[in-house]
Amino acid sequence: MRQYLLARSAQSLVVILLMSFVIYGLIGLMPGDPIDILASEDPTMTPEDVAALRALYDLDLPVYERYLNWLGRAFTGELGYSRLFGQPVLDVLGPALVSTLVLMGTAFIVAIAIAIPVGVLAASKPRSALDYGVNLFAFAGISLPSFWLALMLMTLLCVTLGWLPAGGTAPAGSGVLEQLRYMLLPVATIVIVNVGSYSRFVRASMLEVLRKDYIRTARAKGAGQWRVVWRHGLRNGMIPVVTILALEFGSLFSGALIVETIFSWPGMGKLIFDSIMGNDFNLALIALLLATVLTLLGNLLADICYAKLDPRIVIGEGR
Amino acid sequence: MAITPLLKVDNLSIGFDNDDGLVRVVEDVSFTLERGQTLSLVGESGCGKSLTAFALLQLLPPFGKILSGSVCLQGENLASMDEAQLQKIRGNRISMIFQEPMSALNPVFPVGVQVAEALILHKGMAKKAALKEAVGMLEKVGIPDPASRAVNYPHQLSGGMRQRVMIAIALACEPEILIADEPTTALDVTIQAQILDLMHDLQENLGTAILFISHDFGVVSRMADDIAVMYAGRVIEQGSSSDILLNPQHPYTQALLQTTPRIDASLDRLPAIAGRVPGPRRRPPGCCFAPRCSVAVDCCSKQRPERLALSKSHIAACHVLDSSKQEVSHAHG
Repeated sequence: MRQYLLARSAQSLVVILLMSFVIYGLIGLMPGDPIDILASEDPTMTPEDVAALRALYDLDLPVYERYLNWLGRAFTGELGYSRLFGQPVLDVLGPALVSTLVLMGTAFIVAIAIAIPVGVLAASKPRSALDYGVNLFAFAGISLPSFWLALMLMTLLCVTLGWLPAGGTAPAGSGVLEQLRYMLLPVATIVIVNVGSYSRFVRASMLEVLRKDYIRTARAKGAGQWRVVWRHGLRNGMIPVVTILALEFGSLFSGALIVETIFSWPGMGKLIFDSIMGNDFNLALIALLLATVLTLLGNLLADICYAKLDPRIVIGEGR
Repeated sequence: MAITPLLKVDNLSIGFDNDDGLVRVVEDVSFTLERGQTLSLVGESGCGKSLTAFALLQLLPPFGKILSGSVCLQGENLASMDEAQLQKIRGNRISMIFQEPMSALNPVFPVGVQVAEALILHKGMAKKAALKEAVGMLEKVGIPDPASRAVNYPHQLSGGMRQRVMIAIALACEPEILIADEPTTALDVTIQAQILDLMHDLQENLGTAILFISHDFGVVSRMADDIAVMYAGRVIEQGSSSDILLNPQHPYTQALLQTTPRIDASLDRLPAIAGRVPGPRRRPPGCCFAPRCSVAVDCCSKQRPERLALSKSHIAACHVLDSSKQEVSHAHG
């Protein structure tokens, strides 16, 4: 197990290194650089000034040289300043990451907590009214654009009824209840949009499992419907679902751009978007790289979950 | 007064009711199974023998249902019981083992836990006591070092061992009846013999009656006291083991027996029965075997043959047999 984790970490390191180059290269390909923006804001700048500034910030070097320079500094822990915020990159990223995690993590847990029982129940009675109802609700959720849903919820609950704040986060020092009030709408939007597809995954996987021979064995043993589905079925049915949820795990940290924007939630999605649009190279690079790292971490977690769920999968016994 | 038989199946018909309408798959199957005896249902794939077995415990696949008939376990009709009543019988008074021991065991639980589950469900045992008892069961079915095997998962055992585990699960609660659906088909021949011997021994020790489903007369001849031969959803001949094996009357039984390899016959090539079993939607109006039958006469394709008692134990359904029998009786009369 330990050896496996070490090997996986080493692999991940290679992937991260490659990704950092790819992301750096892609950012380098973007039209314009910070100096262009400076120049457009200041009509007194001459082309000579621009060239001088480029040279000063090494922006006249080829991409791979700039990358190597950046990498060297990154290894010493110097990730640079955010151009937009005028603060060290990590100081900007930290709070955004936390607030995204609070929003997306809550939404993720709530969505799973709804999707698993709902998907399992639908699968255990296929073609029943319950199954059709779940399907209808799931497809409605999948089909709703999140921006539309967010605006509708906001119109109804914040504007017309005035029950909830329309956006932002609770003022510092306010109680848990107050914070929850601010979270409710963005969380609800993300849950409604995601819970449909999650429950469809669970349902599909459980349908597959409930057709298996060992389910018939369990029935032949005298196990009741509840025991057959929740004990014999669920653990087998969860194995493929974990894969999908693990892929979602990475996106937890990159945030939900639309929902964060609509509800002015100061999270990662909005930060990444702003940093790219504002040519904030340092910030965009680290934010995107962080998403890579966390996606890799999600996959590692999924592999560990497999081994926990399925005894046929043993990790760390490589040959 | 006659003693009620252990299991009496009367005119059991099974069908599938789905979007394409109702299809009758098994029709008017009747048989009785006595304590400690083995009855074998024999026939090609698709003749309805497994469905018949599943119907006894109402474990039919989705959309399958019993259309008519009764399944009486010591006088109680299983066909009219509700799910809760059936759960008390499944795995307790009637158990099943299946063809594929790999897929029939749950891959995510150790085998000991799977044996113990039957005991927990039916004997009300605590988990610890049930696990201990399960190890004893594993030993009884001939699994070496049962205590350390009990914590193994199904994929860590060989096919033969897995089928032994299935038997341990099935017999844990000492059922009156064991339904064995082609239990040796997926195993290689030497293991087959071991499993059959094991079932035989356990039957003698526990007095369990066995409903043994197979397509292989070689296997059936080792196990069965009585045999019912099924074709296209009907029992076309039934009788004692010696009636069927030594004195088969129905042309299908005769043909099927000829396809079984024998050690005392030297043939270059085994005979095969031409054609296939007609599907449930394509059954001819007359005798279903008529299109493949070498002795079929005109009325075979028009009229269903009635079941005919050939002796006290021996029944067959065939027109040819009917007329020849009648001729015999005319001659005697």
